[in-house]
Order: sequence, then structure tokens, then C-alpha cells
Amino acid sequence: MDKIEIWVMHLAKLTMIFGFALIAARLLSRALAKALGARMGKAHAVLFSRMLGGSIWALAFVLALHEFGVQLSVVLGAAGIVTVALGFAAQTSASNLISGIFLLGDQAFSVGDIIRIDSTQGEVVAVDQLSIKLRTPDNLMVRIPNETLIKASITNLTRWPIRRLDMPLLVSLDADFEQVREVLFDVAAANPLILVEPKPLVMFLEVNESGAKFQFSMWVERKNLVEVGVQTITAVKRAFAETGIDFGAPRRMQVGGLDKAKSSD
Amino acid sequence: MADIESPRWWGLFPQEVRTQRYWGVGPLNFIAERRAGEWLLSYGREADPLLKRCIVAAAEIPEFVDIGGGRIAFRQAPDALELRAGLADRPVVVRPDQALTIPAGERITLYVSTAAWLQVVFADGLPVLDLPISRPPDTWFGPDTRHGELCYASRSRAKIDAQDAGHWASRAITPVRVRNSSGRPLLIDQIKLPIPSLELYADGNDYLWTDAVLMECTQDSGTVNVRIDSRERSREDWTRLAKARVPVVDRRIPNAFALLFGQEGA
Repeated sequence: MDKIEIWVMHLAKLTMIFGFALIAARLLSRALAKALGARMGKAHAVLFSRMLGGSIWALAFVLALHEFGVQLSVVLGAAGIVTVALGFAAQTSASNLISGIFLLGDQAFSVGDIIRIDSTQGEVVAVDQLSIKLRTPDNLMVRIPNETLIKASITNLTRWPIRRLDMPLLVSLDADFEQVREVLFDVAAANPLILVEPKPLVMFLEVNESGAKFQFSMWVERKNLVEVGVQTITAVKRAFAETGIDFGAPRRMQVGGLDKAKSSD
Repeated sequence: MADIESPRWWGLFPQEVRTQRYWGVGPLNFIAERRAGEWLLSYGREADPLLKRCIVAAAEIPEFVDIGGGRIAFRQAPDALELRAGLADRPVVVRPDQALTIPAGERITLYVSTAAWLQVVFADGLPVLDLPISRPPDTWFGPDTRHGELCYASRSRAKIDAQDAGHWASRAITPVRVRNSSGRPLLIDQIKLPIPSLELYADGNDYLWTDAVLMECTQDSGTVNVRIDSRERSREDWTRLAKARVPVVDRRIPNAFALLFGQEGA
């Protein structure tokens, strides 16, 4: 009977400890995330709130062990040995963890941003202690270890509200280049989604065998980038057709091909 | 076609079931059709963004290319549709005809016309459609592409004479009172108007006006104080059509920076 009472007592205490830990971890993590969110950004807030939650659970676990009479000094001693063993085994994890801390200091991106790392592009859906998770445009989840990120060059596509859309255009060498410029500026002026300031640009790039290569650059609100791209190429094609400007096309002349073919017969 | 002579296109419009009504305001074509349990709304725009017209018709409805709209379903469709006039949801950047110099100690009033917004409202008072009569082009207002604000660019120029500003049914006029207290001539290159913080009114002839904007360039650091002048609110023959989308405390506009003006000779 006494034993049962003791076990019931232990159980009640354990319930209290873990119940308290559950409530404290949730409330304090949320409060910390809210407090840090405005100052440090979502990614930092999420990470630090998770670290706080983890610490509270670790404390609860230690208290629970203490409740069962486990000597903490023995546990810590054993933990030291285990740490050395784990240290060798978990080198990569430790590297990821430390890289994660450096990445946070960088503030190169946060949850919700769209980033490109090497050939992978996607929306950052989570920034964790060991890795980040990206959702690609075709709805795949990609996990990238923090250690990889620290060495890679990261392009944040959504850092600022406006972006430049560059459209290379190949124009026939017979075209009047001044007219090409005017037509392109008219196309930009007719589309309200293309920003008036910064002004659109028409840059001459090169002349090659196929024609004259221009770059038509325009600034747009980030969210309109794809739509404006489609609208602009459609409008340019129509405007070129109306004004008699031809797009460039490869001009190659095969000399002596027929004779060669005949001689091989 | 029963054209309405006055520039008034807003208000409450009762409509029978299975009938249509058409509005041609500026470049905007808008049709509302009432059915048994729903209202069908559709709109399109003419190519000329500065088209001057105001037509409200219940018959001989013209055809246009539909670019948007909505289908609003009810248990019992309300028998009237309300159209409200509103103002832009972003600041509007406007330029004078040419860069304008204001001598030290001088004060002038410029008149700027900006596109009005059309809002469709049913019984709950919340707009189901909120669209510009003429879509102004986007622009960026700031010292570089990292710092600044996404705005609309006005299709018209700031004018010294109110008559020249372009007072049509589809555009509202904002008086901009500029005072140069800096002790040096000022060159006004472009002005960012805090349109979302202004209220909209109709005068006695149903033309649209907004609150006036006061801009004062101070002597100390060349900074610009921007305030809303609400004297127009007390005019007897004016009716308020829309509250400010983004009301400001103390009528002072935050984040108004000196990029509005260039220093003469700088």
C-alpha cells in the first residue's frame, strides 16, 4: 500500500513537472517569439523561442530524474563521457548548429522569403537549428543543412519590393535602332505595372550574325514580375509587327553543299 | 442611351431583377446585372486613360472587353447597388509641367488631379469591388531602389491654375499649398501626395475634391513638414464622399522626406 502511495506521489509530481513544463514552454516561447519577432525577424524569433522551449523541457527532464532519486552528479559525469563519444559521432550536427548561429547573424533571409541557393530556388518555410527547409515552386520540400548554406552564395529574391526585369531581344540588322528604342519605351509607358521611376532602359549589347542584340530592362513590383514578363513580350511582338520591325534570325549560307552531296553519291 | 449630364456617377441605384445598368466613367466601363439571388458585376477599360465622360445607362448597353468583375450571391439579392467614390490606396507622385522654382518666403498653391476609385457596396457596407477608374502607373519614390515607397505616378501634371488641372467626373483635385520658409529658392521636381490619408468631397456641382495638403520647407535643415489642411471640410456646399483610407493623427504626415524638393543650384 505504501509503495503504491509513493508511486502515486511520484506520478503526481511528474505530472506536475511536465504539465508545468508544457505550459511554461508554450507560453514563454510564444511571448519570446512575439517580443523578438518585431526586432529581429521571424527566423530569429522562431529559433530562439525553440531554444527556450527546449531548455525548459531539459530542465523538466532533469527534475524528473531527481524525483526518482537519480544523482545529478553521476548523470553529469556520465554525460561528460557520453558527450565526448557523441562529439565524434555528431561532428556534422555540431557544425550545422554553429553554422546556423552564424547564419542568423547574417540576416540574409527569413521565413517567407524566396531564395536561390546554387540551382535550388524556393520559399523558406522553416529555419531550424540544423537546417532550413525550402518549398520549391513545384511544391517539393528541400532540406538544406546550415553547413552547406554558410559556404554557398545565397540570392534573396524578395528582399526589396521592386525588381528589374531584363528581357534580351534580338532585332534584325535592317531595323532602325532609334525606332526600336522608341517602340520599346512606348510599350513600357503603356503598361501601368511597369514603374515610371526608375525609368525603363534599352541597352545595346552586341551585333552578331543573327542581328543586333538589345536588353530591354524595366522595373516592376516584385509580385508582378512574371505577369509583366508575359505582357511585355506579347506587347513587343505586336508593336514590332505594327511598325515593321523584324526580330533577328540566324543568317547562314551553306556554300558548296549540293556539290559535296553530289560528289559523295 | 440615357446619359446623365452631371458628373455624378455614385449613389444608390435600385434595379429590377433581370435588368442591367451600365456606367461609363472616364476610361472605365462597368456593368451591374441583378438576378434572382445574385448580382453580376463586370468591368473593362478603354485605351485612353484620360477619357472624359460620365454615362449611366439602363438600355443600349455597349459591348466592351471584360477584364474583371464578380458574382455576388445572396439568399435574397438586395434590390439596389451602391456605388461609392474613393481615392487611391497608395501615395501618388506628381510632377509640375517643368521643374518649378519658388523664391524664398513665397507661397503658392498647385492643383493636382488624381484618379478616383470606384467601390461597389451592398447592404453590409463593405466594398465587394474597389477599383481605380483609370489604373495609374506604378512608380518608386525614394533615393534608391532599396529605400523608398511604391506609389502611383499621376498621369496629369501639377498646375498653378485649378481650371487647367483636369476636373472630370473620374478625377479628384487636390490643392497643394507650398510655402518656402527656407531662406533659399526651392526647385520642386516632384511631389509625393499622401492621397490615402485624404478625405474625398463632392462640391455643389458634383465635382470631386480632396483635403488640401500643406507643405512647408523649413529654414533649419531643408526638411519638409507635410500637413493636411482640413478647411475644406467645413464648406457648406461640399459633401463628404469618403473617409481617409489611412487616417493620420494630428493631421501630420509621417515619413515625408525632402526628396520632394531639390535645392536651387544644388
